[in-house]
Amino acid sequence: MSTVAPAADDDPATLSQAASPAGAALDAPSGVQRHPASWRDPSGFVFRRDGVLLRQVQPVWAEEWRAFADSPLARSLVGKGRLVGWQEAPLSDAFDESAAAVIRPDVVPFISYPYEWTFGQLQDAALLTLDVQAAAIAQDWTLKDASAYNVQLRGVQPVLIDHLSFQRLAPESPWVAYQQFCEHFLAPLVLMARRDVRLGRLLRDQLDGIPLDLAAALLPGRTRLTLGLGTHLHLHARSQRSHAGDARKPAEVRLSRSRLSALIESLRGTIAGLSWRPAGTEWADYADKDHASYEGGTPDAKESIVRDLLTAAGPGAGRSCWDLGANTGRFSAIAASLGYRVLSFDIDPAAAERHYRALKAAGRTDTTPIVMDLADPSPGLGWALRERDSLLDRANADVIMALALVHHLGIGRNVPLAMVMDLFAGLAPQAIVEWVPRGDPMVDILLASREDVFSDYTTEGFEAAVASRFEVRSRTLIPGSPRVLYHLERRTG
Amino acid sequence: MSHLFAYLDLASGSMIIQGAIAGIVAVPILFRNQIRRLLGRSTPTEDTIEDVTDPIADASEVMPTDGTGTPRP
Repeated sequence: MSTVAPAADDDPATLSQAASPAGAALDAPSGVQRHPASWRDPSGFVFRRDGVLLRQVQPVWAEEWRAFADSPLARSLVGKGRLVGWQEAPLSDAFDESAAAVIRPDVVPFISYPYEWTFGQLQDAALLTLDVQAAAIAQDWTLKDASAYNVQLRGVQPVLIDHLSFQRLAPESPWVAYQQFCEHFLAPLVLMARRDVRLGRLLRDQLDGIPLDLAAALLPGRTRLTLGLGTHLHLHARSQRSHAGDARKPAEVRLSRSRLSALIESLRGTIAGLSWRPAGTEWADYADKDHASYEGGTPDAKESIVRDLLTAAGPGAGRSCWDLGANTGRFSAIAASLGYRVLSFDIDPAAAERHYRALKAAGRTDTTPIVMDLADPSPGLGWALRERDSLLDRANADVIMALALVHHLGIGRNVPLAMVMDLFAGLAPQAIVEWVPRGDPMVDILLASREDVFSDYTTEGFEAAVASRFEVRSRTLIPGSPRVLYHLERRTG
Repeated sequence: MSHLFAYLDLASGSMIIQGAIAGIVAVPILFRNQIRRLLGRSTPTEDTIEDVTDPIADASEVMPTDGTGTPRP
């Protein structure tokens, strides 16, 4: 088969086009870089040759890979968009002479991580994993791992990226990835749904998934009483504790096909049965409020200006726009309508969730909401801090929008304006930034509960900060408001 | 807090309990699927195998061996 899907062993970063500084060469000739995150699975690894993303299949997995690549399962999963496609590449493109095969996976435009996803995104990624596993079992295959990092988002569509996760299903074998699935998906989702949605951030600290005993300790006692959570989480955690110190080799578990399928179906029902209502936070509810009283000016006027500035920034098709502080995506939609591929960042998991659900309901595939605190963005994590790239290492935007954001960073989080501009300049060559001056009702609210130590928070101070990193292409006053929209272009040299 | 398992691999407990959990959850699921089949409806997951082997018949599926538990790729 020449065109099917791609793969990545726990290292979705390798599928991004972002030029990651983390992708430094490992034992490589010039122009060839092995990704520093691609080392967990001996079946193969990802590397770049002259900037092109490739995956090398090692001899130990050659037979399994060939069988999968030629299987109806692979064709079906790729055809349904559950697995990213790939093309065969010549062995001359291999990283080294040990290669049994080389493939060129389709590229995912932006690599995001589970600790940056909304509840719904993580839930849909979990359901995708289970659906793929169910389909695999039906055709005598199985997933040998179930890492949340093996799923990426194309718009709002989750897709599996690891082709080397598939192996032929031995008769009566259990699911070897059961523990990993429970730790990567079930535990965080239950904590988010039944305790507090902010616990999803635990995944940032627990890259191998949330320990089940920790999840069990944090969850309400009543979760023991449901069949799915009582077994897959609480009983599971108890068994782990009981056997943690065993020096004996464990007994082999044999599962009939029907019981294995029932296990997957039970997990699916448990995951699908989890729900979370994204409301009650200031920003999630913000979209329901009167924008004019909140922001000043009229929403239509601001939208019109933003549309004009995005148009002035160049054609949207094939380019990327990051909307920082996107809330539920009102202005992201403008960028998407102009052809941009949009990433919508917001600190509020409820606002991002509402945005995600709206996009799903509308069938949009051009926009991906991301939960991110820009004052504490995702750092480099994992082995040598290079398994998971920082947000800045993944920056590949052509344009950023920072609308009604600067005052929250400058006053709400005490970030000096010059440092705010440093961040913006590190993300994209062009920026559309809304300046919210003193006298604006929102600035007054932010200053009401704190001492005013923000002497540089003036229009002059803002423009000085801008001038250190950007050229000003235009300034547009929002009618009926003291706010100004700036179109900025990063200085070169 | 009782114990922290910072150094130990917990895969053995996961693998051992999987068989028991599969047996527990299989009963209502297969019963439900039988009912659905009688009513002419499909199961929720379109690709899930339509295997209705009686899980109770597989009750003695845990047996000793030299397996080493779940690898974590």
